[in-house]
Amino acid sequence: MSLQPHAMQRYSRVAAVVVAASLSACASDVTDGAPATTSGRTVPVTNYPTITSPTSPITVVSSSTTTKAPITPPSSTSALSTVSVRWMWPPLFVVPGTQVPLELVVDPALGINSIEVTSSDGHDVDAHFEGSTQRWRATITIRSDFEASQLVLTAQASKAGAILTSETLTIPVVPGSIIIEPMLEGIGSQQVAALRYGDGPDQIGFVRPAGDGETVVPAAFDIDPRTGNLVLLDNANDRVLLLDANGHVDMIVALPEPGALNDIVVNGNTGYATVSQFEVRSSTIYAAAYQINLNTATYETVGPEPLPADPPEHVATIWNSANHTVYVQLLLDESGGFYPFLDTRTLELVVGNTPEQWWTTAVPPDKGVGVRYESTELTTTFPYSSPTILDTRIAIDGTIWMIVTTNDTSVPAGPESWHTFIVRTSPTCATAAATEIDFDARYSVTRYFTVLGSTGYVQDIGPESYTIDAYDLPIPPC
Amino acid sequence: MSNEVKKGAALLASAIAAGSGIVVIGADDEAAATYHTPWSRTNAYNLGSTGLNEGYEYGHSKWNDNNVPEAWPTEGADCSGYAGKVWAAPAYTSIGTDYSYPYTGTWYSGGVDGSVLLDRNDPRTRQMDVWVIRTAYGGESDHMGVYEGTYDTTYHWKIWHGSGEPSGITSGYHTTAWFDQNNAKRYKRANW
Repeated sequence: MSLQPHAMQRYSRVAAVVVAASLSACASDVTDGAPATTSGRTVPVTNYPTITSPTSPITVVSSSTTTKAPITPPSSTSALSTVSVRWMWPPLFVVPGTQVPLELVVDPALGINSIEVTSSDGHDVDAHFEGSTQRWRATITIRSDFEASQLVLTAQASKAGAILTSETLTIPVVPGSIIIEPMLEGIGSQQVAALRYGDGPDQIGFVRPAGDGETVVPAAFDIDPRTGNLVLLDNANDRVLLLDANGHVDMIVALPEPGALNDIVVNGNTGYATVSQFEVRSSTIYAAAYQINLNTATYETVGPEPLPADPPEHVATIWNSANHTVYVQLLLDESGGFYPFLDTRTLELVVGNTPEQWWTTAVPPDKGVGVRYESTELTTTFPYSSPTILDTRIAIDGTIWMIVTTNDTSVPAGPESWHTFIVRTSPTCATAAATEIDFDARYSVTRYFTVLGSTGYVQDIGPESYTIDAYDLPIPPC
Repeated sequence: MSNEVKKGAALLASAIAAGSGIVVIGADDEAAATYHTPWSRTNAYNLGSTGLNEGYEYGHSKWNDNNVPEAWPTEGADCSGYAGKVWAAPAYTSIGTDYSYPYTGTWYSGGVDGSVLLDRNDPRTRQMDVWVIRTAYGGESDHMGVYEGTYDTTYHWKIWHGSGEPSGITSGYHTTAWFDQNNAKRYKRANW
């Protein structure tokens, strides 16, 4: 590991002041998903109950874009967890009558002797310590007659003379695999950033080769939840652009060549973001990370280290606040999985062969798109055919967001036959909201969108400029 | 064999896909086409796999199969150089031989001898078919590659292509929507 603080390039004002992290109890800040390019495989499903979201079904109305609105962070954002007992991979949802695996992490220095998990369905269990992973595990069996819409869990860790309590974990309860028909209507967007193409200080790279070859376009972006500031991976120019909440370029972080910059993920409320980079050398993929201080626009280089995988293109990264680790989703087997990548506390690459499976995307034939967790599928339907998941995010509030394209086969195949939607599905309410978006999917990128609060932010790589558009998508009532 | 003659032979032996205007397989003008024979999909796959993780260089078509992207003149192939060598069309050359293969414009217009136009999203996973896009026809760039042969149930095709610098020749995925929105064309060799 080499640590190379790098001088920032500052173009306007200083970075936002660090906002004091909220200490409100919250589940682990696992806020990202994975692109469909690395999604898991589907299994045929039939005869699922279908639930229609309230209000008007399947009315597609063209959306409109207005300019230009600042990004306002939610009043209460998830904190970097300072709780000593933390849920590692919160379940997306649970089904009555099934077993739910739980995982907790505790600072080893605390010398915890035991952990008891208390469940709102009345079944309390003891967790056991697993030495190989240094984690506490428990399995709860949910009563088959449990009728509440949410399962509430807390964990209490005991050490000599003291009790440490975890965050309260609230998990949606679903009856089993279900199909949800979304409320589908036109929701206008607001443009939050617009950049011309180029390598100037207020531009973003779009490089179309002079001859034959692939166009290099911005691969990913994310939002700092403390400030609403945008963090753009300008991979064509080997740099990261830090924009303020009004969409103006504030600072630029120049990164070294070579290697393909892959993705960027903000580390919750820590004030840092991680850029992943992959490079093939001697039959082996080498991974490196750049840990960027969003306040000072400086970075440290970590790696490279070898990765046990096929050459990845557009591999999504996610951040888990429970163990302060960035994960990458790789397709090393049929199901894919989230592999540890960077420990952001020690700044060490922690690449391993064992995925920490969480959930996978699924496209049940002729039904829609969805996620699968512990053999249960939550599917949202769409008009037209061939629904394809371009990108998925799991929001802090547990709602599932996706960018989906579908094909209208009633018109000749081509650019006009495809319709792209942003959809937000609530496992708690079994409802979903979706809107068609003005979107050009001619480019393959790592991340198409991100989520903050009730708003999805979508990057649109247009012919003349790059924009980020905001879509407010409140969840339909239960 | 001229393009006109080739197209006539193809039409006699082919059907037109309803609604798509796409010529479907059926022609077998292998003997007359100007490309290397015998050359199977497996031959193409095996040769194409040697190019993965090698270097990119515009206007060229050679690599050394050491899985290290290296700079020209050690190695380098662009997208059409890679696809042409994989297809052995119009000629087979060893991976270490630089050769002037047709560019994307020739491919897109159907000007590569022995290429037969297919439905671009034919769900059959026919390994080593070629895809090509052109900016003049709605593509995001002038680019091409080959279908690796995997088409999963989430509507993603696995592809191999000379993607550019610094990635080199890589494998990746494109969606069915990507091929449609880029107005891609898809070809097979007439003998496949």
